[in-house]
Amino acid sequence: MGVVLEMMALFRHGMVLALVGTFLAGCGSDRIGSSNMALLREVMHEEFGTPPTPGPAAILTRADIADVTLPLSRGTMVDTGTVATLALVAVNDGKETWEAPNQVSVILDGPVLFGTRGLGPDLMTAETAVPKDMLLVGEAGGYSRSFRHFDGKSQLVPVRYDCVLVQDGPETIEVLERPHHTRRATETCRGPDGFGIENRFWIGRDGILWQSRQWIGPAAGYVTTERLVR
Amino acid sequence: MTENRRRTGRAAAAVLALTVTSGQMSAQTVLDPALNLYGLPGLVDMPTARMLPDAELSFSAGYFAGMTRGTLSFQITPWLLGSFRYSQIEDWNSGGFDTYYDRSFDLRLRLLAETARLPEISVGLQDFIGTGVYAGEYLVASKTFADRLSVTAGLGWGRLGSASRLGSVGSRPDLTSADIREGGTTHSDRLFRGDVGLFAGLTFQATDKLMLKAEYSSDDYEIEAGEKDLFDRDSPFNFGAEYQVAEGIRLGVYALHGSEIGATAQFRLNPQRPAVQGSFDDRPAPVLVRPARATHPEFYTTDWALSEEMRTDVRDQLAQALAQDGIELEALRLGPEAATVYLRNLTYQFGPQAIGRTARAMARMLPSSIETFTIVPVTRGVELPGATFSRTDVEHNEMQPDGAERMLAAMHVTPTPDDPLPAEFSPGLYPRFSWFLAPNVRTNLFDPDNPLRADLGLGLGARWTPAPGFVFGGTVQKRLIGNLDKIKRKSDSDLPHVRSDFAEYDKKGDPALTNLYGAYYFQPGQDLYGRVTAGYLERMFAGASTELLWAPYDSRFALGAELNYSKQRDFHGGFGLQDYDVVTGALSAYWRVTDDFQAQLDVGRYLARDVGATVSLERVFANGWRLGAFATKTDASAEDFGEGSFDKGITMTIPVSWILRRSIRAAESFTIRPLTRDGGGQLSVPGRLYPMVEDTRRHRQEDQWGWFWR
Repeated sequence: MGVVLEMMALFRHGMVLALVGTFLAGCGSDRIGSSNMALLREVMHEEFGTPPTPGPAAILTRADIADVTLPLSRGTMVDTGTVATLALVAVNDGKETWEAPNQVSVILDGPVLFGTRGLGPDLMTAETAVPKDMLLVGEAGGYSRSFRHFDGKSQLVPVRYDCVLVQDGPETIEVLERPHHTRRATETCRGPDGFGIENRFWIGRDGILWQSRQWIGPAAGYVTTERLVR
Repeated sequence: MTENRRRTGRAAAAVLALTVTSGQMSAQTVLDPALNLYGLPGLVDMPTARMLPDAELSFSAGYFAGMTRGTLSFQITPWLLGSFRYSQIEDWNSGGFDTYYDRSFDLRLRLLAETARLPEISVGLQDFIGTGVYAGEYLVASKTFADRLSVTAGLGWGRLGSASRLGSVGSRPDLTSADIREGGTTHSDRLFRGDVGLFAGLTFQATDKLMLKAEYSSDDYEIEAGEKDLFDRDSPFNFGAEYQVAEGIRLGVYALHGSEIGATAQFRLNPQRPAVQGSFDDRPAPVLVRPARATHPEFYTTDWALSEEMRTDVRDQLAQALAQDGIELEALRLGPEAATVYLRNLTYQFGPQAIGRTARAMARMLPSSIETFTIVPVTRGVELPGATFSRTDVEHNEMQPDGAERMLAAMHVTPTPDDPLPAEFSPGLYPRFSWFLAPNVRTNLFDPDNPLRADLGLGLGARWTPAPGFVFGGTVQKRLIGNLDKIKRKSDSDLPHVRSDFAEYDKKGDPALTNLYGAYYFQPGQDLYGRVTAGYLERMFAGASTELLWAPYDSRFALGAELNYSKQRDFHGGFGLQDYDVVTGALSAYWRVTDDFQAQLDVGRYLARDVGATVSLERVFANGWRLGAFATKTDASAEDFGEGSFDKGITMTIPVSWILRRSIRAAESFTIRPLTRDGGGQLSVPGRLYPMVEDTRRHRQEDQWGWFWR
């Protein structure tokens, strides 16, 4: 398996190198946008550099954020373990845009993941209205909702999932050294090809999403969110 | 960076009966088809009825008994497979060849897709317009059992009917090595004629990676094993094993005809299977929603519009925000309640993404009183169709699950927007000088003396844009390393040597002035685009070119007319000219036939003063990939044209963003011509009009609209 992965990587590297040779190794006077050299550096780093090790966010303590008074969250990509702190930067129609320092943003509609940007295989949008309302009032039920992703042709395709939301009952959780009394809820969805999703939410009495594990898409997998500062 | 620019009723029934009645109909899972020595989905040397996945590109090399076949196959539609093959046969020693090189084209058409009960059935033409050395036709059926076993049986004609003969259908002239010459003619009098042979075989997927193959071949290799004695055909049975070493890479070894060992290397790629479905572009800045007018009327005053200082501030801030996103503000029309942004998209391969980013920047930076946003992409000073949205729609739809669809529905299009007024241009845009220095690779393929020649060179280019629509450009090319100057073959063409002297240019012209020209782009009327270009247009011709294009935004059709006068340049790469001059031109029709195919028909006069038409058909993908083929037939006779009979080739365009997984407006285009001759040659003018407007036409915009909010 390891050998195969290495060969796949080599094949990709080879293609990238061939491109680098013909497209990016040039230089010129156009000053706007990223220059070819800058792009080249970035691409070479992405292709051949060592993957980023989890930064200080991974070993964040409550004391580190004692002074923070603005809303702050932490996002962790379940598959890769990449961690980033998230700051709330904009709210539009109830959807909150949270930005990470690494050009990634996560958009939440109340407790429910609406979209991501900058991850690569992003969740472009998700229908969130029904589960959002159910989660906020503590209801359970079934419904269907669509998720939009880019397909291989680079076209935006909505895929409809049939979902069931169940209330699991109260649970006390700890988020960064601080306990929270929450209601836990689980949403399970099934797509047209039988593909299954399981999202989990821990919501405080005040409606705050203290913790969650939500599906981004088939390639990106799941993200966990933790609310550090309300 | 540079702007980159491409039947046997009874026997057939028997085969069907054999496959239909045998076994349980348990499996519909079609195994991922492996390729044969011809680079086609197949057994060892024989074909199967299989297709590749839709849009799949395969690139393979097969070798046995001194015969090497390199094949490029493309699954044109789910039911049609096309292939181009370049083969080498060592120790041929006839027809003036020691080693014989051959180009051939194949087509395979699926008649029936596999079902639980029925096999997949296909009909194929092999080497049907080439010299005919591999000419053969087949009707074949394949059926999968228990997910792992695929059984194939078929009938072959021509080469594929030269052994295990069942009978014959009419007559077919014998093919001898002496017949193999001219090429370029379809052998319609031969297709499915003559002896019919039976072939059969099976493939077994032993593990996820290992496939075993066995076949009974109906190819007698009469010329190779008989006349030429290249190998001994001791047995009709062939066996093989293939291993998938990585996704898209497969290696195979074979035991052939009881005497030979063969091998294949198979590479596969699919434009619809990018490394990432999406992009790693930076996140867009969120839309900032204005406070409600009812509660905050003070935000909605239009007093700012009276202050020149305020207007300049607004423009500068907007320009800066756009620059962050790799978009240049060409001009801004600012009214108290409406704004028009003229933009240069320097970054995004998908036009809608540039429009969406611009809408976001406008919603962030423009005074609240501005409710109407118009966004006009500009290229070479020409305004392309503009999009108008209400700011309220931008604010509302950013965060709707169907927000992209809503923006498309809400968009009002102005097909031919007004030019900006002089005062509306961004400062410092005109005149502008820019330059680039970039490596490049040039190739020469299929020369029997050396089938793959290439130069690695360096291009130094400059561009000066003194005013909107005016472009002056030039490029100088210097070879760094390579062997294009080693071509010995001289043109024997009976037509004027308009293209066939290419080797002379490489030999005598280094460094060379590739081009040096001035161009003016303009819009003479609604949906009309015009161009006048003069100077050293390309490496082989200098002159003047004029073009007019009618391309309504909403239509899948466009019409163009081009008229050129050019004089042939000398070989040395300087300013010198030869005596040959020619008036060329064409009427062109462009048609987006279906969501997947773009067709073009050019009728006109070509460089060798020949008159005729070019037909091209391309499969286009929303992500920027294009794969196509073209053919030109003119009044230059097949004899005058020479080897190949008429001009034809394959074109391929690969967007760099597909591989880099982030937005970049570069694409590499390749044209593969089996032969470069003089008939059907078109002048190569920099900056033709249709490619410039294509991406902003409705059908293309709709393909890519999902990128609006990315």
